[in-house]
Amino acid sequence: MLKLIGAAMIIATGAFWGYSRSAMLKCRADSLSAIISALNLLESEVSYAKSSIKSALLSSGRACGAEIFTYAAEKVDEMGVGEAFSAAVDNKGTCLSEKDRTQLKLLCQNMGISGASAQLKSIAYVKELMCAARLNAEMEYEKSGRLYRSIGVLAACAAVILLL
Amino acid sequence: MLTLAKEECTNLCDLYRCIPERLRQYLYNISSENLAEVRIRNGAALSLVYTDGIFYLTPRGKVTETCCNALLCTTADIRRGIELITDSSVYAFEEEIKNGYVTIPGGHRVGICGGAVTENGKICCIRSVQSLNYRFAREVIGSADCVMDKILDGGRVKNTIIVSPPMCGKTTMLRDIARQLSLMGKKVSVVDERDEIAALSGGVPSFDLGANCDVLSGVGKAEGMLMMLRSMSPEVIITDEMGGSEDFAAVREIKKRGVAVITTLHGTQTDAGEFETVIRLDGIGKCLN
Repeated sequence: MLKLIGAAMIIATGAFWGYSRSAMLKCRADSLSAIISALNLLESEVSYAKSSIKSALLSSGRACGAEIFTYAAEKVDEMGVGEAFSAAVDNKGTCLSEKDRTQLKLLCQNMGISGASAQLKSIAYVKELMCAARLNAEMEYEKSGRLYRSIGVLAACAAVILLL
Repeated sequence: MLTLAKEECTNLCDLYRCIPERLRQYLYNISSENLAEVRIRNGAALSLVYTDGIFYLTPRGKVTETCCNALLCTTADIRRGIELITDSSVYAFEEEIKNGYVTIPGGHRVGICGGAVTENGKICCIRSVQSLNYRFAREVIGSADCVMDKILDGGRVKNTIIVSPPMCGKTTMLRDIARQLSLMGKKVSVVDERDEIAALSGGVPSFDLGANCDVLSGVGKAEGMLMMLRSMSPEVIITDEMGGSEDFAAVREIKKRGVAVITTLHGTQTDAGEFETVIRLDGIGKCLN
């Protein structure tokens, strides 16, 4: 009985590890999709609505479920827009890779402090980088997601068999 | 010589909020009575322009008449000032910055000066900002009492122009004229190109313009006056700082329709032209005629 419980726990742990690794890959792809949608909306806010950066970040973040944008909007008054966005990427971009975060932080350099055309060029450039990153994330999930889920369960089963 | 009633500042917090924090802390400890402007210049002393002269602040926060050993402004102050006046959204204020000023909540105007970048002879932006001039907008209830008898002919409002050099209270007087005519039951339309007369905030005027006043802001004067004429059936149209020939052409058009225009002009002398009444101001609130 005890062995059975132990075996079940080992398999559950292995499965949990595998599924969580797979979920992280999915999370990265989904986060990048949300960021790209939010950047599209941000472009519209800057070019047509000419709304303040705080309200532009808030509305685009809420509409697309991009927590980085909503967090940055909340911190703008406290920190200034560049620092707020950088802090938002660090705090809410946990699903993103280090490279994704570095590329996203390129927006901080002239966010809110440059004219409309420079602002739009900056957003378009980062959007391109995010699109490439999303493609990469989706391919990685396709390739490795199922693998991690399977490996987690199988490795746990192998461990159980060896122990038994 | 007639003088304005004592000034009452109602929007000080809106203005101070747009001054860099490092300098703002000093302003809270000084008298704001008769303070007309706060000027921040890169590498120079912070200037306080009162109605009776220009003063400076020492690093200890005392008001002084000399700029020696006075509190200096830095590039960081200028940058922070720009961030605050544009709400960290310079792209949203490009047109205003091209014109050399931004109107902030409360109707205050912040003049911006520095290196202009031109394209085909027109200014496309101002870079390397050298100075910011924060001008207080004040509401002085009763400032137009001395001129209302010149503006009115029985129940009829005369076409009137108020002429003076800068900083003599033209806009303050114009605001009170709008309020008083509105309270008399006249249908008043205000064309507020730079959002200084009414200072709309969320569609609500920051200043008291009475219950019969309609405001159109952010539109050029000539176009705005004709729009109001067509849509709001005004008895009086009020606008600030007449400029080019198209503004005067719009006034002629409006006169033909039997609507009065009250406006202002920078200068010291003017022929009456389209206007029945010319009011000249010389010095703060001193009415010459």
